[in-house]
Amino acid sequence: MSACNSTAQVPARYGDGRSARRHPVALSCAGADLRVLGEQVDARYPLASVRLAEPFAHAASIVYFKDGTHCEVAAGDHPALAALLGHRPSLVVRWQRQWRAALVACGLLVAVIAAGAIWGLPVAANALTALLPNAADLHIGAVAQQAFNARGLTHPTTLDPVQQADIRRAWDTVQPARPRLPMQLLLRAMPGSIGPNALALPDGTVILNDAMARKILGGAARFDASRAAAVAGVLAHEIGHIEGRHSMRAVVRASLTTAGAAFLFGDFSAVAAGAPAVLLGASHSRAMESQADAYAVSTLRAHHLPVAPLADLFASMGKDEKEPGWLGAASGYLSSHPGSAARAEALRTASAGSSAD
Amino acid sequence: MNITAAWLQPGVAVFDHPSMPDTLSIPSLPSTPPAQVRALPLTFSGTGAEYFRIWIVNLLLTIVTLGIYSAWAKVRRLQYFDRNTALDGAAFDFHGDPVAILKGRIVAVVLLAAYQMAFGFSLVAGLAVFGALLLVLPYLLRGALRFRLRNTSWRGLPFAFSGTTGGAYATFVPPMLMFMMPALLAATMARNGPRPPSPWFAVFLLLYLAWPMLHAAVKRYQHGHVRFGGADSVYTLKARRFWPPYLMAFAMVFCIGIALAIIVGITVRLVPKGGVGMLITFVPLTLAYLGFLAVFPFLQGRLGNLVWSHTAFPGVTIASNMTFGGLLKLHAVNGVLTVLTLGLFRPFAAVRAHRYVLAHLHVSASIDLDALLDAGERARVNAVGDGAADFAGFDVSL
Repeated sequence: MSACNSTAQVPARYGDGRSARRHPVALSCAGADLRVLGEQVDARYPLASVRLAEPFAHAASIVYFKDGTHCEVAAGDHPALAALLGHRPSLVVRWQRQWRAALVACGLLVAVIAAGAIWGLPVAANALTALLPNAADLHIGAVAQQAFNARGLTHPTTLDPVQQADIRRAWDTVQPARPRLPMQLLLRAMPGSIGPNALALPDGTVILNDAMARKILGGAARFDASRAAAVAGVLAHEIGHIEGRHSMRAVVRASLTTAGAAFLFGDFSAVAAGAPAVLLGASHSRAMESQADAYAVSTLRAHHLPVAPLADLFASMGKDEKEPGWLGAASGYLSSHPGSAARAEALRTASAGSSAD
Repeated sequence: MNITAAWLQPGVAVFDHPSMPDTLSIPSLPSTPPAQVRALPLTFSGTGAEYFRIWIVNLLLTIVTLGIYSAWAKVRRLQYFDRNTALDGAAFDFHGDPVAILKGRIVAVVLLAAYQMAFGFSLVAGLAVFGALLLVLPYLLRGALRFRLRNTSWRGLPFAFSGTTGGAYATFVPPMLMFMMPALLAATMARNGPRPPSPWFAVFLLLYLAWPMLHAAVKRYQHGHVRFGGADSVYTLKARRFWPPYLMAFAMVFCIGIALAIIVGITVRLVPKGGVGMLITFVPLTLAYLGFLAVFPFLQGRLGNLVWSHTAFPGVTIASNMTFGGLLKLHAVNGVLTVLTLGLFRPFAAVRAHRYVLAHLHVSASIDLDALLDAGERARVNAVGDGAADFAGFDVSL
């Protein structure tokens, strides 16, 4: 810092850091030094060695000297003090001072959080999922199956053996050439209010419930070619979840969202911290369903099976579907899936494409 | 557990009633000649608008740097509140090193992550982390108290914390056991399969009943060992004084619970099932939730008043007279506006809370403050070393 050219005298109170006594002094420039002059004080400090605390609008300014002593300057005298010291506030301080810049920060904050949630989160979740060993998938799948059994959610199937054989044939057809995990199909009856449903566990287990099989049979005794294609489509959809490691990605994503939300709002409200995981989870799960649908379509096409029966199945399930909404209590297969009508439409488009080529 | 936040940051701190017979407010002290006793005004010059701009920039930089900037943000926040707080016309100052805070935060995140995940690996790993936390946390919490106080100064003299390491273990281990026991029990029971709760469960519930005593011990440790101007603070509150506020709070929760059960019972019978009926049941639930929320300002006021009014320095007395109504209004307005503004009101809320606490805190001195001397505290601190080498220099408060 060069010699200052201010002739101002700034009133201050000087403390030596060893006693609480504060001496009234005047600060002024003397060449390259700051002079501190009072009744019992006369000290000089090189301007370059003097440090000014971050200024606040109404707080006293504090000047720190190398020897552990300091001066307190009333807030109103801050401009004169800054001129005396040739002080230039840091970038962050200048940013904080202006309303316009603060509002820009506000906008940037929203943009950064939104970008993180929309793009950053899936990328981070996928990268983290890739780090997890397959043993984790197996473990979580086994825990889930134990939970199903312990809570009496699944019972042995009541389908007749011929129907079971039909389903297993469809299963064998849509098996991937090189599966990520060894897969198994479980046919189960699910009592209670659980409607037609099929689910994929992370360990490679696909569960198809009797209600879904009967829904596809529609009263028929056997699965003809069209109904077998629908079963194959449903199973391929679930295999798509396993091949895409969707459950694990969802788990990692939910963990990351929860951690991020806790970081942002955790000290304010547990509800505010928990809600984003639920809301973002729902939107990501719809994206995964669409991916699994796409996988099912490409699998069916690879095996020269028609896509239309699967589309018809979704369309007919859509008729049972209630109006979608926040409080929609639809349980089972449909609640976590995109609107059935929209899916059926998307599949029809795909099937039209497949019949064209 | 945010131990340091209760310190000199009245926005979070808790406070007494002016009518308390043993309140050490000055006019009622007959032994002190009135001419020598001087009330020291406690003022706050910060504004919500100014702090909002600091807060929003802090938040943005913290998120962009994935949390690293949070240490610098914390220094800025503490400086804003301390430097705008003036006692007897002299401002407080905070000069903590952000790097020390960052190191402390990294340690805290690692410990927290270990605690969250250890039982997922194995029971042995869980127990190891559990033991390690019991061993390390009291030491770190004492370090945090020391860090906060030694980096806070008034009239250029630093505060210091004189609590011993032994005192830290005696104070913090019981509440830690209380907070961590559920996880430990859950993990052990999960391994042993679903069985009826063991008798150990009852022992651990007894620990919860002792919470007011444990809380009183924590306050004694925090408020009884503040050193300034060569003298230690004097803390005269008996632990049993914590019982009445807690019993009152418990009675409030109990009554709200009973009232809720009755109202829900009636609505479930009278209101038809379906959409509208569901919404009607939400009304008493919401009211009950708000009632439960009111317990916190109640405890904050009663306990805070007790604790501060029984904290004194030789020749300096403190009295706190926050009221339940005042705190209830403060937190209600803060909560509603924070929700309505999607969180943007938070800095304004923090300033309002800080102002409220300061306005109800009364400091009086019967000694010549100019005569206070720093009894070598600074030299000792420098000798120990304030940097990375000194583990106690970590600030682990989250």
